[in-house]
Amino acid sequence: MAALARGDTEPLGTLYLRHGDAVLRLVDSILFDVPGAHAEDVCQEVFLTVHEIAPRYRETGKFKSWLMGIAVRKARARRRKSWLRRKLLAGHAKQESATWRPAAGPDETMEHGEQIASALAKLTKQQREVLLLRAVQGLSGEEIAEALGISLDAVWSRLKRAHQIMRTIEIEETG
Amino acid sequence: MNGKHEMKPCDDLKDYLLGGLDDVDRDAFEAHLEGCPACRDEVAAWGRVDDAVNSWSGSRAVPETSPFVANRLVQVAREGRKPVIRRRARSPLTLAAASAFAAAAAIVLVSQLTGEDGAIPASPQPMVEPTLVHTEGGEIRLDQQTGEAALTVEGEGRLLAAIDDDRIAVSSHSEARLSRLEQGGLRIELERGMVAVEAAEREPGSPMVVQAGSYRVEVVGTRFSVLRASGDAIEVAVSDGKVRVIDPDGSSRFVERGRSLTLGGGTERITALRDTRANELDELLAEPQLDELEPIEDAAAEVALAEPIADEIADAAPIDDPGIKSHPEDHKTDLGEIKGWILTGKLDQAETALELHLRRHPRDVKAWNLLANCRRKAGNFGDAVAGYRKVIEYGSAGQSNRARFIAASVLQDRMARHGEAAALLEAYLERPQSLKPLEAEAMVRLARAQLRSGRTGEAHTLLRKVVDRFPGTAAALQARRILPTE
Repeated sequence: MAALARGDTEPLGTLYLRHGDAVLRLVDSILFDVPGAHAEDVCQEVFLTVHEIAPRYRETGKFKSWLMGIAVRKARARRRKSWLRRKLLAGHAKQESATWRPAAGPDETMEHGEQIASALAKLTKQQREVLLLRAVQGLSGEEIAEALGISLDAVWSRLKRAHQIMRTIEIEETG
Repeated sequence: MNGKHEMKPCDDLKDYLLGGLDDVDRDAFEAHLEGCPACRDEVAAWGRVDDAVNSWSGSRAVPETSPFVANRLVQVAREGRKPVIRRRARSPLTLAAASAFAAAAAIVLVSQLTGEDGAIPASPQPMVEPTLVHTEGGEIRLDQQTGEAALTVEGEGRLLAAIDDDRIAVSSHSEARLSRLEQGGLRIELERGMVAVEAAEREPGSPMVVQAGSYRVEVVGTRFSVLRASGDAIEVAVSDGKVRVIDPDGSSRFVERGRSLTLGGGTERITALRDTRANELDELLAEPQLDELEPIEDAAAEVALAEPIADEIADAAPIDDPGIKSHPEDHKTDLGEIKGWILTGKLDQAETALELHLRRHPRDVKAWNLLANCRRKAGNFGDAVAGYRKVIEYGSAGQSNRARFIAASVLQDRMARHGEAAALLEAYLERPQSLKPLEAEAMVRLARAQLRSGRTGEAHTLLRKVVDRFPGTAAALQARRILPTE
C-alpha cells in the first residue's frame, strides 16, 4: 500500500491477484438480486479506487476491512444505478427491469441455494451487507464496523435481526 | 486461568458472536457453553446460518481473477483513465445472436496444409487488401513487395478492418500482419498485443490462422480473440464456434465457445470465458459509434460527470434513496446502459427507452446518435438517417461531421440514394482537417456517388487525388481499383 500511495501502479496487480477473489465473491453476493450487476466489473472498479485513494490510506485498521468497505460502497453504487435505470424505464423495458424476486414462500421443490437466496432477499440491504461480511468474509464485529463506518452496536443490531430472519426461514423450511 | 474466567455469564454471548473476546475469555466462554444449553443452541444456530450463507456464496458461478485482468488494471491505473474493462451488460454466450457474421462452424482444419515443421507457409501473392471499417489511432499499411498488410495501433485505440466477410480488430498497443496463405486462406501474425476475429464461415481451402509467437490458432468457428502476453504466453478466448490451438511441437487442443485457454510458461489452463474478455472482444469488433469517436469531448464529459470518489467513500445513504433522482450522473448512466442494449441486440427496448428520453431531452446529441445507431441496426435506415440529421443539427462540429459520414454511408450502401449521400460527403470534406479523420474514405465514397450520378470526370479527379495524397492506404487501393474500370 505504501508503494501504491507513492504512485507506483505495479502493486495493484498483486493486490488484485491476492484479494480479487474475495472482493468478487462479496460483491457478487451483495448484488445477487440485481439483474446485469456484473460483479466482475464492480470488482475492477474497487481496485482502481484503491489505487486512486491509496494516499489516504492509514494503517490504523485492518487492510481487509478497508478494502471490503470500498467493495460494499461500490456495490451500493451499482445497485443505485440499476435502481435508477429501472425507475426511469419502468414499463418500457420489462425484461431489463425485472428484478430478482424471491419465491412466495418456502417450497420443497426449491434448491437449497434458492432457499438461501430467497431468505437473503427478505433482509434489508444493510442487514445483508453485515451478514455477508461476517459469513462470507469472516470479519469480526469490530472489523465490520470499521469497514462500514458504523458503530459496533449497529453491527450487532443488524446482524441479530438478519440471523433472526434467516433462522425463521430455516425453521419454516424444515418445519 | 483464574476463577473469573472459569465460567462466563451468558451476557458475553454478544461479544463471543462478534469475535470480540480475547483468547482467554473465549476459552472461558466456550467452557461455559458446555453447561449452558441456551447459549450453546444460540451459537449453533448462528453457525448454521453463517455456514449456509457462506456455502451459498461459494457455490455461485463467479469468474476467477486472472493475471491478464491484473495487468490491464495496472495499465489502466498507470494511464489514469476510466476503466476500459468496465463493460455493458453482455453474456459471453449470447454473442452469436448479435453477430451479423455469425455462421455455423466451418470445421476447417489446416494442419494438413502446413509444412512438416508445422509452420504456415505464407506467400507474397496475392495481395491482402483489408478495408478500413473504423479506426481510433490505428493504421493499415500495405507492403507491395510482400503482399502483406500491417494493422497497427501504437497507443490507445483500436482498428477494425474487413477482408471479404471476415472482420479483424486490433486492440491498443497491438500489431498484426496479414498475408494470404498459398492455399488462399488468411494468415494473421500477431506481433504484439491483442487481435479479435469475427470469421465468416470457412470454405474448404480457405482457412484462417492466427500465429502468436510459436503458437498457432486455427479458425474452426467464428468469433475469438488471441492475446499475446509476456514471453510466449497466450490467451485464446472463444465466444462463438471453436478454434484449434497448436503447439510448436504439433500437439493441439480445441477451445470451444464460452471457453478460454491460457497457454505458455509451462501452464495450460482452460476456464470459462470471462465477461471481461468476451466484452473486450465484442467491443473491438463493434460497429463504430459516433460517441466513441470523439475521445476528447467524451473524456471531458466523464470528468465533469464523474462522482467524486470522496463522496462515494463517505456515502452511507440508503440505497433506494429517492433523493438521488436528481443526481447529475443519471443521464449518462442511462445512455451507457441503453448503448449496451443496442450492442447486445435489444433494439426494441433501446429504441423505446431512447424515445422516452428524447421527449424529455429533445436536443440530447448522444441520445439522437444512439437512436440512429439503433434504427440502423434494426434495418430502419430512413429513420436512422433522420436521427443522424438531428446529430448534425444539434451536435458539435466533430459530432456533426462524423454523423454526416455515417448518414452518407447508410444512404449510399443501404438506400442507394447517391445524390443525398454525395451532398453529405461534400459537406464532410469541406470541414477542417481535424474534423475529417476519414477523409480518404469519404473521398472514395463521394467519387462512387458521383459515378452513379454520371459525374465521371469529377469522380476520376477525386480518385486520383486519393491515390496521390494517401499512398499505401486501403482507400488508395480502392481508388486505383475503381479508376481503370471507368
